[in-house]
Amino acid sequence: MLQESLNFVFPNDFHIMWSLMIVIYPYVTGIVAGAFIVSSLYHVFGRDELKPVGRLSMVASLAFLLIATTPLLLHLGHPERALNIVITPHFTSAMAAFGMIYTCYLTLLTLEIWLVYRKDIIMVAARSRGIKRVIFSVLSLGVYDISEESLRIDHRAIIVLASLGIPAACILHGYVGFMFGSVKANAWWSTPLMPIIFLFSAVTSGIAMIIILYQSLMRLSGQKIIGECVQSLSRWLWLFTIMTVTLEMLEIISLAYKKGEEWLVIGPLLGTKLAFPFIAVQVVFGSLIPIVLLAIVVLMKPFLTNPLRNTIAFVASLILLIQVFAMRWNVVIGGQIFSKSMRGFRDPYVPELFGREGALAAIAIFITPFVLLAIFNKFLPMYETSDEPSGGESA
Amino acid sequence: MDHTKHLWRVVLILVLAGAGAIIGRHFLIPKSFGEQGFYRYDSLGDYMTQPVRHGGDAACAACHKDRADAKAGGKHATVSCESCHAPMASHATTEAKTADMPKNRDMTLCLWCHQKLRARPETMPQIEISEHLAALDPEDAKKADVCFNCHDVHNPSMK
Amino acid sequence: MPYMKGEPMNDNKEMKSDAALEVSRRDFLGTIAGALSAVALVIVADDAVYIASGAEPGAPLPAGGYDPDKHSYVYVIDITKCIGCGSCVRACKAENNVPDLFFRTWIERYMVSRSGEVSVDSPKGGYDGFDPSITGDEITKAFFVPKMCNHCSHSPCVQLCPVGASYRSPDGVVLVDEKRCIGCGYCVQACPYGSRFLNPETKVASKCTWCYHRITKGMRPACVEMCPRGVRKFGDAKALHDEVSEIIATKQVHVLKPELLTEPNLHYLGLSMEVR
Ligand code: SF4
Ligand code: SF4
Repeated sequence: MLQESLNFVFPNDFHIMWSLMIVIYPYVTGIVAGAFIVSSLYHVFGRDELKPVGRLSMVASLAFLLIATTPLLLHLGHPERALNIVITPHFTSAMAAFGMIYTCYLTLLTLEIWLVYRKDIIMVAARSRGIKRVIFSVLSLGVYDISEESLRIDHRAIIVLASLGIPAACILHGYVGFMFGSVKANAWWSTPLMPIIFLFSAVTSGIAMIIILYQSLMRLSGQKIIGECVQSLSRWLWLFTIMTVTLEMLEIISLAYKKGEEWLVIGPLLGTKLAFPFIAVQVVFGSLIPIVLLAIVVLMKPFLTNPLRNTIAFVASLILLIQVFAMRWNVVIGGQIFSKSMRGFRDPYVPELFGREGALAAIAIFITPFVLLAIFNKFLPMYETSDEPSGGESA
Repeated sequence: MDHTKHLWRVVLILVLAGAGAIIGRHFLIPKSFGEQGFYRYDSLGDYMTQPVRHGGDAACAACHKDRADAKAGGKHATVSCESCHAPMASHATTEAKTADMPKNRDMTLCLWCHQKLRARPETMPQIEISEHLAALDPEDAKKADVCFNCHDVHNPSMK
Repeated sequence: MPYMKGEPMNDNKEMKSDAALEVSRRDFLGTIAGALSAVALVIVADDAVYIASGAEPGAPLPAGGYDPDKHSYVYVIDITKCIGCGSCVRACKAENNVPDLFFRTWIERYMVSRSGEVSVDSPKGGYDGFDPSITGDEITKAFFVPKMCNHCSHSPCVQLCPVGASYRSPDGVVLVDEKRCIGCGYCVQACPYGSRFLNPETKVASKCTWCYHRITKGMRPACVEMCPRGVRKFGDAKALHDEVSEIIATKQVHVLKPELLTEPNLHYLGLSMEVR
């Protein structure tokens, strides 16, 4: 057995090149895909208890989707050439699929939201004056038909779109996982499990985000949080967390057990440089605690009061959002820590504060979807305060 | 009454957008793209026009025949002029001299090849510098260009 | 498929090389510019076929006198001869304006002890030579390994480039189109050999080009030219009696990380198992 001193990196490998932005990117698209799956549970699979978050999850998905390209643009050496990726997409590259998949998904999601909100849009147009009226008339595409018949047609179209959206969301995030999984030069990334792990943790983060958004929105607008909805979301979240964590652990266990060449660096990596972000944050804090918390919510339902359950679910969701972020970090940054010489580690990576790829930029990116949501909500409320039932949604 | 009017408008918009994208893309694809494979063929030309900086020994010999001959007859025959001096481009064009050629007389230059190293093949003449200079006057041994006291670089057996 | 080599292109190429022979080197920049502007793109039917036509039929694209289809380059490094002097590293930096901190070629020093312990170093890629004071207990074998882009036939970097900026030229050189590269760095992640880097000045991917500007003029790459011990050999598999392809065909050569099936065109003589 060769002994290694782990102190040699290839001369070009001294720094970590893919930065915080590349961590943010799969994190955000994960939330996009996950939130969409929640909306599909309601629209396609008829989980009526999820009706309260039906609109929210769709709009949240769109809000995050709209900023999903920003981290990439900030990272590119030549953002002004970003369009090359759609002008000459190289079909053998996972990254090139981005343009196609993103556009399809964006179209699909926008359409679905438009159909769901069509009646509201027309009402707003009818109610308002001036510029707002013009904008909303344009948004309604000049058709003011809100007859029973047309709404029924809309409803059918929504179901079709939502069903198409499920594979689209899976592809959107599966491709992100594949982008890493297909790099055969990198032992930490190169596993067929990667897209699946990404997908499951995406759904986890999406559901967690919806639980948090829903509860916060209700609090802010002084409405009642519907316990059934949180209960149901928690159950799904529990399921997906367990699957995610199982897959993540399976990957490590099989690497450790097979003890291939890559374990020479991954073993020491997990023991030293990744000990905190991986073992402490991702596994112990991020996975075990929420699984236990959610188990309480799911298994001890009769013993929990509404506020208690909601609080536990809220806390578990927050922790899971951190877990998923840690997972992205450990994949993207962790995968770059060791040099391809398999004989040493690169300089540690600490994100800068200011600067194009710095922490502040990342925070700004992450806050934007919430602002977008607030703006959207102002014009087209996700929760009616009046007693008027919403058009496209009623089954 | 037809209740699908709004949907048809959506379809129309999508078709228009799609067609716009396809047509727009045409004009954005660079000229020689795809000619030989999935890349811009003219990019080869970009590389070909990069200036050459090292001319090679033959180019040096065109003006410095004496040195070239001296070198060719000795143990440094395989050592390129430019690897000890500097790339040709910093000294002359095909037509004229543009700047003086540096003459590096520092012993680090010699030691790059002749310092004794465990990884160096034994067939390579190598020295342990302190041993090698032991017989010299200590004052001389301190000088950076001490090697030139005894060796002619272009034909480096003892002078 | 929109970008397949179509019949019309092949016909053009024949004429191209003939016409091109008359173009002298000095004219060639001008010729390229002229030819480019003369060549018009005609879009036939739906996005499918491109036909180049113009005032100068078969004008050389992209350069005069050189036909990439007539060459297929190969490279051999004889590890047993390398003295680790770093001449190639310095030559490469000077020839190609390689930014500080990064390398298109570099030298690694391996020292292996009887117990099997391997220590490797490559201070500044070998640019300033190696420290003689670094040794180990009972070193039983030690050697230098020059590294560079392997110009893989099945290069993961080309496969993964999203925009077709990384490509393998018809003569077998893996290059980066610096005008189309978006600087995503995916190829840098994809190269198993650490041969690529993002150039901090131009913000595009950069790597060894086998001195494409030299070899297309019949010269040898700068590293080969400057190596004093004949460690590095550059050849053309399509040439008659090529020494380098002969070595690859008849000697016991090895490539780096063969298990990845990247099919390098850089072969090593005397490679030892410690080298990755
Ligand atoms: S060695 Fe690296 S950069 Fe060179 S062709 Fe192979 S994968 Fe690409
Ligand atoms: S950095 Fe440039 S050459 Fe490399 S994959 Fe990205 S676009 Fe292609």
